[in-house]
Amino acid sequence: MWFFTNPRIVLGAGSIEFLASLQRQKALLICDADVARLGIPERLADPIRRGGGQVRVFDGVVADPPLENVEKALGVAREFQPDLIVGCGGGSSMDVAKATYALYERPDLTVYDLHPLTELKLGSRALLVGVPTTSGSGSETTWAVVLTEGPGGRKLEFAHRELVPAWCILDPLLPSTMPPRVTADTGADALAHAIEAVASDWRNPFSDAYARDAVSRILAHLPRAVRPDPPLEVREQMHYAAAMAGMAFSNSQVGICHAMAHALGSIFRVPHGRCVGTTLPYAIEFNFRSARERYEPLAPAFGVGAISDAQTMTDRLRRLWDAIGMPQTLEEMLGVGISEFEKRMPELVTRADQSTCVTANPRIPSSRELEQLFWAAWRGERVGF
Amino acid sequence: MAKFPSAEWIAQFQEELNRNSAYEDAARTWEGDFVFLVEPDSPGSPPAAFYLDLYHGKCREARFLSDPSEKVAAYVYQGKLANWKRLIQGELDPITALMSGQFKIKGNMMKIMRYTRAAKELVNTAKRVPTEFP
Repeated sequence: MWFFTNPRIVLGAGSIEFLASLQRQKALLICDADVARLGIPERLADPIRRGGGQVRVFDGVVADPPLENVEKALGVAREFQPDLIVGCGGGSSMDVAKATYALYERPDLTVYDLHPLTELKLGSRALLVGVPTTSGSGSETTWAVVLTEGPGGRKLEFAHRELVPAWCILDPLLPSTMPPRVTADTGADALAHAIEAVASDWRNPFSDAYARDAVSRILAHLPRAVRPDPPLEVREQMHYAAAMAGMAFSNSQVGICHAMAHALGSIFRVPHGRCVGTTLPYAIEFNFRSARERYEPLAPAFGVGAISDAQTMTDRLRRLWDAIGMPQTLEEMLGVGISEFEKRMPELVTRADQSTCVTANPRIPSSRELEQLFWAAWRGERVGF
Repeated sequence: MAKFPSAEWIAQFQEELNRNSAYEDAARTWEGDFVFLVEPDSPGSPPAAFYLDLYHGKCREARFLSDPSEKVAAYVYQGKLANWKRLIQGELDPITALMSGQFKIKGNMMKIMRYTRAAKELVNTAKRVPTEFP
């Protein structure tokens, strides 16, 4: 028995207008300072106000949001008493919005209760809507919330089907302001979601379908998306693909690429998409002997007749990464010396090993194998074990 | 072959577990004891239970409980006998079984979710015990 859960989706240029039809009384918009600076909350506030609602903005979300971020947003929610909570931005804003929503609905719970075995029964006080501005984490469609224990602290991975927003609005006009570096990082994250979803032990026909489509769209459009002023159609394709990739992994699971990326990001404070992008080829090479048949349906997306070996995929990825400026080794990505990397290795291995992302990976690595993987990714060596 | 559930079965399980280097690696920092509760498939029969003291990759104690309430453990993993059979025979994954309600667990979930590799090795170990099911 398994499940497939996704939000209702509104899509298209200008689809933020849909917010007017919700006719909510009080909307709390949760975003970061960059999104606020771009004026995006005001663009969302306009239709909400036309629909008769008041708007409050919390723009204090930070990257890799700590638990304190949720506490602050929750404080605003408890004071304002919204009946609509909108996560607006990248994955961090979306995750803070989801956690805030859950704890606003259930003040008797803590964030540590946000796991699949708790009965949450949310939705009596507010509606949760996700409006992504990156393409992207897919968090607007997923059951996952990733927070951190604090600076340098481990990533905390929460998940519950009720954390999937009721609606997500995929308006490609919003990510159109993403600079190339952010486009590359978030696009790599989306691609990794889809590729890990097809390889997962928890995959199912629904997640596979969304994942295959997402891989195809991303490989076709990401190179153009990172160039200056890409056409709106390219942004649109990437935006939808990121949401599809989110639905894929949310109903399947990510794997060791994300386990390694969470460890790297939490220790070295590198953007998540860059960590995921750099480690993805190594994860594919490690998984291949267990996931070969699962990767095979991706052959058309990779432009080949068949995926005969891991290099068929990873060579294509490495060419793409080269084209979009994605680091190909951890040495390049981290910008630290080998002695620092070596010093942090035990903690990297422990955090990756204890990540929930390992749970459904097609090949479960031992701690020794995780260490070997991190070193392979540092040196840029193909994974042959 | 050891009957499941029985004192003989849990004794063999403990031996296998303490030989399992993959489990030792996965659970090298684990501290916490378990009661595994086997509920009868139909009402009227009493439940059966095992107690395991798991610490830093080893099982320090494992025994069949004549009374499930005899031991209070940090974690209780429980399910119907038919599902235990499916779990041990590899038809169920211990984590998805929880998420689909086929098993229940009491205890610190955040900690449990950090040791899913160890949980899978517990099941892999159980598969190695020659088992006779009712």
